[in-house]
Amino acid sequence: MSEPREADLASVTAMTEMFLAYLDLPLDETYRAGIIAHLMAAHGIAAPLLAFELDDEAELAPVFVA
Amino acid sequence: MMDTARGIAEKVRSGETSACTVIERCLEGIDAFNEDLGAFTHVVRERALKRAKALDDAKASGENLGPLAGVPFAAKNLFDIAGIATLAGSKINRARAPAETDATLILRLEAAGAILVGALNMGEYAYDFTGENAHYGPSRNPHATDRMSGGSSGGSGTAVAAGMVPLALGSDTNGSIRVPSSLCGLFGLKPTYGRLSRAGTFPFVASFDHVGPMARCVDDLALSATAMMGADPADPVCADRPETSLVPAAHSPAAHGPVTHGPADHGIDGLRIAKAGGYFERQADRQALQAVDKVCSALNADRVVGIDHAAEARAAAYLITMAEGAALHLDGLKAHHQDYDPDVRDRFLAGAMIPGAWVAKAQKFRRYFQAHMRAIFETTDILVAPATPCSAPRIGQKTFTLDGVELPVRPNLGIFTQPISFVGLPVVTVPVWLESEPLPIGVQIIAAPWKEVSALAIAQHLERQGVAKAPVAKAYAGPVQPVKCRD
Repeated sequence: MSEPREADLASVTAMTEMFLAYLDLPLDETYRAGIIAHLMAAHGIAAPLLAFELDDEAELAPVFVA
Repeated sequence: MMDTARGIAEKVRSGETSACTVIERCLEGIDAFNEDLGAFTHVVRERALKRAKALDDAKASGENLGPLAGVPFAAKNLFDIAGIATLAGSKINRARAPAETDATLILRLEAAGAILVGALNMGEYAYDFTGENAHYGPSRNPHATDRMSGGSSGGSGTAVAAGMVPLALGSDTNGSIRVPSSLCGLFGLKPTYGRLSRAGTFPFVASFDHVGPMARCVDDLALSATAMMGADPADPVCADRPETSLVPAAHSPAAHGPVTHGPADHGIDGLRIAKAGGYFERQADRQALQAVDKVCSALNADRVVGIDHAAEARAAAYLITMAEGAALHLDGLKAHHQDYDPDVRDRFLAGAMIPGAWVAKAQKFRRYFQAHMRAIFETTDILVAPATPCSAPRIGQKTFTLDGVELPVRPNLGIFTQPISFVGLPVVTVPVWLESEPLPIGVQIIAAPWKEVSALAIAQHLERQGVAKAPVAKAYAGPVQPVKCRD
């Protein structure tokens, strides 16, 4: 499994712009720095999880019981 | 300052004091301290006094008052209280209709004789570890009022540490009972996921949301948890379990007969105790590590168990929290984005953009890590780990340095709690005061699923040894000016 690459500011900024529009969320300029900082942090925190190999057959944790 | 819940209940049952007197003193304390400390957002004065009068009348009629007779308690303001809009720390929720009924846990505590006195401040929508709130101000740490109470059950920590109430309800999704218990120097119980009903509480991340008590002694945790536990069809996660009590047998109220499943029966002899190693030793400061060592020394626990993949567990919890939290608030972010706390709003907006593939992997990893922890608990009964990486930061402090890396305070005070609640393990946070330190810090006593009784037994052992203690903050420990509350 390949290691996830480090997030770069330009790609996170571009993604933020696109997703705010895609999800019809507020496009307020003053929000962007905070959003981008949280996405950059999440990318870094996610790295060890994304690098961890799970079996293809692994089940999701929540199990709905009818 | 208030006695412990057990002490109050014993005095009310014996007639040494009345429920009305207890509640009047409690309201006096709230009146005296709340403006400085920011613990309460709503005080249900008339309701509490009316209920106290009814309890005293019941005693005069010879009725059974219950194990928590006359004990004042308060609830984080994400618990429904009949007649009040459930704020969940927000400005937006002020527009909600008042709750029609109380949350299940409030009903159960009152059925046991306790008396609700109010709703407590919290971080907006429970998305913080600091106890700060942009709309209602911070709930301050009574041991040093320029310091954080911890969050998101910050008001719960403040109210109990200042002696305003002996017992408070909090919620814990990623550490929101354990972090304020650590910073405010309290005992806190985050039970097994599904142990206590969440019905009538405003959600945050349903996959991880827990509720539980915070108090100044272990008896009060066990007594209140016992009163609150039991199946509840109104919460699909709430389990129907066979345990009937977590109350130490020696302190069981005679009116309720013998208790056979309490910590005192269970004892700590034979429990296999180990310090959590690896991840849990890396980012803690000296005080946090010394507190863990002091607890392990008192328990003669010299074994270290490395918890592999804790960083991945924390990552998975972090991502699921971002995504589920954002999903809950997506419509709110569109309609009322200007009314959110900016720190919370930006985290929710970022959460809306977390890739679905990451969240699915995080949920798969949750099952993997659950199995991993179960294997550890086949050879270990109790894990000891820091609750927070440091004692209370200053209010307004944005960053701190952990293991040489500067990090934001708000999401990182919970680095040691988050991997544990991720798989729903029960934890009692015990408060430790080191001689060289002016502020307390908490240590997590972690047990296998449904083994709260083991964690409570350990916590009580530490309490009796004097290793763990939760005094009322000195500045608030004296008498307060009486306020006439009764006609």
